[in-house]
Amino acid sequence: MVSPAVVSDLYPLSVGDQTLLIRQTALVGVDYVANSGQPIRRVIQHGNPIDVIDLNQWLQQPIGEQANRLALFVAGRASLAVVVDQLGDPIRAALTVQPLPSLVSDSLLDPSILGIIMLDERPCLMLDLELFVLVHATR
Amino acid sequence: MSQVTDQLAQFVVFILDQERFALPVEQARGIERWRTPTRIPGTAAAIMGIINQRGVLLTAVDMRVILGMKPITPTRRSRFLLVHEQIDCAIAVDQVLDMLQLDLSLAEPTPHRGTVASRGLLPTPFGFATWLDLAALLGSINNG
Repeated sequence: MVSPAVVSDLYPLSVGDQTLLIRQTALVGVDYVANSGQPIRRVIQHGNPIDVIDLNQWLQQPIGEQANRLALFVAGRASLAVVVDQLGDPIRAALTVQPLPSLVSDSLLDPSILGIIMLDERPCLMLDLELFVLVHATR
Repeated sequence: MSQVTDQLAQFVVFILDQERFALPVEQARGIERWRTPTRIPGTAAAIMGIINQRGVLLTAVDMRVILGMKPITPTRRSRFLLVHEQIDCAIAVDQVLDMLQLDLSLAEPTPHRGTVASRGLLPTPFGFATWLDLAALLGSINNG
């Protein structure tokens, strides 16, 4: 049994009707990208194309109808970004990361999913974004 | 509470994809309203995600997928059946019909369905219901 960890200084990411949480230190930049309603595979940053992982597609969530979505640039990974619907205000409070139930953790191979944080009584995935792009860049 | 007298036992009878199924009440902890589970990508197909049940994280399981049916599409009748079989989890069902006392001596054998076994067919006022082997079903999630 993994002991719960306490984390703080997080960003909530809106992905369809789900909320993910990441550490603030994982982000080094944010940019708007036009929303076509389709998953985004590439963005242009400083004139250079950068591959992206669309988290709505990863979570099988519908893409929002807003004009723009957000590309998040990840610390230590200049060649790959992630795209989400929205980025929320920072959460400074200390929150507990609960381990995944065993039925889930027994089948989960993705080490970037750290556990669950309850936000407004809703379970939210806590994601190690730096590890996430590392894991998914090689897939 | 369990109510077993000779061959009588209490069961929760529910529907999955228009078919009737039954689980002993000893394995059922409660019936809860539907809410969208938090998805966990990369898990077994039958795992819908996680729900918050009064502060406890429960795995939401799509029993239809384990039984080889199409995944559940939630309606206003959909519910989570909270069950316990070594671990607690929430089984998504299309509708809970009733809690009934059924006569085990009237059970008829059934062939295996997909990769998991049923324990028999039980006559109910709604027609026959498949008595599910919950341990086998849950055990197949990460082995299927």
